[in-house]
Amino acid sequence: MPTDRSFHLRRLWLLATLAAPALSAQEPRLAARLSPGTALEVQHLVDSATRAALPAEPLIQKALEGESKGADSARIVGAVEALLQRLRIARRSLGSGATEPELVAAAAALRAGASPVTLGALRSLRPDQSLVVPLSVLADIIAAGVTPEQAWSSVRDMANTGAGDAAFLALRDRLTNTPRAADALPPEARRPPTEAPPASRPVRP
Amino acid sequence: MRPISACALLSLLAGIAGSAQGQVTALVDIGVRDAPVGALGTRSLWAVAPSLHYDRANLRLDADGEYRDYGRLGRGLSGGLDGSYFVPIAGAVRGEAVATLRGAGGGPNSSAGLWNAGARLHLGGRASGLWLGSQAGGGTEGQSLQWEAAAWRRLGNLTLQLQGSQLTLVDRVLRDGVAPDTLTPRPDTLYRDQARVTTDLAAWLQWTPPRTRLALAVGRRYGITEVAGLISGAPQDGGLGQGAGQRATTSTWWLVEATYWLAPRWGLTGSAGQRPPDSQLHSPGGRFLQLAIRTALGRGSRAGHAVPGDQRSELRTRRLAGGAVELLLLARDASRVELRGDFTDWRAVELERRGGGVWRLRQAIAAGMHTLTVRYDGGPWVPPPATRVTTDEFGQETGVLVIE
Repeated sequence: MPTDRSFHLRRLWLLATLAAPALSAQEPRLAARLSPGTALEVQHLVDSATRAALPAEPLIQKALEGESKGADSARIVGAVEALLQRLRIARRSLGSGATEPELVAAAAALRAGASPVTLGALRSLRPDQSLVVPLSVLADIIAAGVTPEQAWSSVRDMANTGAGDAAFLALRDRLTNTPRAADALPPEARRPPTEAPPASRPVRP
Repeated sequence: MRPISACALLSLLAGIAGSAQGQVTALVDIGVRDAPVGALGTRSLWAVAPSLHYDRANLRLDADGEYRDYGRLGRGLSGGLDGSYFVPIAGAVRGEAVATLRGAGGGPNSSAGLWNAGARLHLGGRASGLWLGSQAGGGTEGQSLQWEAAAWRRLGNLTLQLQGSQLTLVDRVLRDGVAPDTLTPRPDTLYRDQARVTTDLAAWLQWTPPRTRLALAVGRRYGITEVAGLISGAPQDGGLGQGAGQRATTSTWWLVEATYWLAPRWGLTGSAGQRPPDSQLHSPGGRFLQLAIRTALGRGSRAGHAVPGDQRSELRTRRLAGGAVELLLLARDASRVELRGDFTDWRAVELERRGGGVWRLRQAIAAGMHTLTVRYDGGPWVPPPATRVTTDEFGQETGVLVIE
């Protein structure tokens, strides 16, 4: 009997040890907005980011974004997991000195299609300057339809000149020609007037 | 097109629009018109013309219809669906897939319908560009093939567009054995090959200051109809007979259209001009004059960048002395603007109304890349203007903004 009692005590102690940190460190925003199961899964991912010295806030915001947009549990957890993975790659590529905004911008560039190698190369070209704007410009150019290789070539050439953030933004405007793709849609093909009202559709923004 | 078909098409489009994120604009014109009705001369008629427009980044769907009451001449109905989808190809080159389905019938004119599908290649940016395109289709008037080219330039609120197109309609009739069971000498084969080529050259000018839209257009239409015929009959009847003919026509058309929004949901619209005959939809040419009241329906139809006349939406940010960031959003016709993003825990925050259609939010925001969406008057959440639009992991469009 004493053997059984000590076994149960050891088991309880083990469970308490495992559960306590998770319960004590539960992010209140996750608990308030997500279902208990989803909140727990996201919390595990957040804890894993914290242990890897990665920022937790972007992961929390991604989960809250999913909740506000009505996504189901699997999609929310999947999105947070994918972001965590991109943050890990960004950390490896940019080095331990990368700031949280740089990691977030790098994760966005990776999602847009940039290669991890280009992130490291950009760091070495701008070792003492923030990479937030160049990385966001890289993502913007790729999103505008330029291939990742061509986009990186343009950003690299600009970084090689030692240019500041303003020059990168000018590069983006030049290559994308617009801050928003939809704004650049051309006018529609117009038909000569027929029996129906000649032009009842609203103009494009 | 029967009324039930037009309603079903509009319902289908409304369903698509409602199930996805995007900007929906619904308009209804109710007005009177003086218009020619073929050999019967000019008649006055009243018309109700609803239209539904859906915009989502590079996708645009339009559905429109018109019910016309000609009085003693009956009632007519017309309608159509148009779709357009842009895809990036490389740099300033983009592709566009287009499709059209239109029909008209009732009243003094005979029924007609057509469909077209094709592609355009666009080169250019925000201020100017050109495109080349081709569409193929069919309909009650035969098979069609159309080529088009256009160049355009925007100067602020002014857009100039020069457009040329050529439409070829081919109508073949082949009948064998017209009278195989009779000894009466009559043709036993009838063959007719008719090709109608219509070439349009047009210049469009559009001016869109706030609340107003003015469109001017002038065009020239050249038409050539070629008919080749072959009739074979019994030998005693003279054997083969054949013939061919060609007819050329030209006409000039013009259009003036103006819309003024008296209130966010109510406007006046009028148009006048000379329209060319449209053989595809059996529409006679002639002068017309129309006046109508226009109303914008639906929650998403009122404010934001899709509202006619409100073409100056923009978002600006600046960091204040205390460290907070001020976001200024221009939305002239909105009565309520909300924002949510990764700096509001993705909870909707209402912006404060300032003068001149400017809306303001002051919030502590860390420097870096942020994602956000806005909505106008409780409509759908959309990326704010002047942000990079990305499709997020949840399948919705989100704006990306860098705050320094």
